Amino acid sequence: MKKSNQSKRFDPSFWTEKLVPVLLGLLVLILLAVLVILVMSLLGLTPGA
Amino acid sequence: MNYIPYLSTIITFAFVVAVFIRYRQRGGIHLLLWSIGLLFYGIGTLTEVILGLTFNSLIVKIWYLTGAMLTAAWLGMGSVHLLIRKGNTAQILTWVLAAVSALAILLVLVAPTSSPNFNTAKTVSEQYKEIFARSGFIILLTILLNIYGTLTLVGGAIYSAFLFWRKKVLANRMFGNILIAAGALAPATGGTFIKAGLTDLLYLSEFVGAILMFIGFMLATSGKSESAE
Repeated sequence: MKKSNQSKRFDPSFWTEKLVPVLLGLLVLILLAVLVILVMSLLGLTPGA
Repeated sequence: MNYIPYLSTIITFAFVVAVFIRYRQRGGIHLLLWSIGLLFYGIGTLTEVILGLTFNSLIVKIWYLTGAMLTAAWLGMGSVHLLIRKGNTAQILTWVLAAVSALAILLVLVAPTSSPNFNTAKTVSEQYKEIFARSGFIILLTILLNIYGTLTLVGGAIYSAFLFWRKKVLANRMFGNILIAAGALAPATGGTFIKAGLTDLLYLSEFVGAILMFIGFMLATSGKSESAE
């Protein structure tokens, strides 16, 4: 039997509430940096392509 | 002798088994595609083990195919199947990826090789460019496959984690996806460092990536989540 949505919920601690979006933002920035360097290497703008 | 690829290979093949068992138990094409992507990951690190012992130009090509070209794209394809459930976009993209992968395999296998003084004490990522001549098209395919794989795998994990955080549900899946995103970014960053002509940290980044993704997967699929489904 499936449990209700309520049972899947969690009460975020202060750190979960504040730290998770910061972590996700940091990961997005790293992802963008990786993608920019990949595109630069596609254009032949990096030394090690 | 570099021991890091030994550890990466053991961890990655254990990861392949864990994902494939889950696929056998629950189905889901995304799990099968992740198994394939992780198998490429493991074969890539296994070739690093072999190339740390002896030289073979075919093994170098297999290392390039699995590690540099196919792993990220096939892992990302699994994420696409997980996130795009409507329509047949994911199926079409899978067939396109299969065709591109077959072309990549053909191009790399027929690429001319030379026999330089390969040093087994050095990493293959430092020496592969002197061993087989990559055409401009192979380089183009490599970069496009990496862009696609990194964007879909890491982007998919970040997006999933954000949804769980916003809805405040399934904390284990939220943290699991954060670890998967961080783990997937590790080898992507290692490979990008090489492309940018910076320090070669590929072996270490593969090891860290395998550990983080494995822990992330186990956390995301832990019993707490199962009971909540």
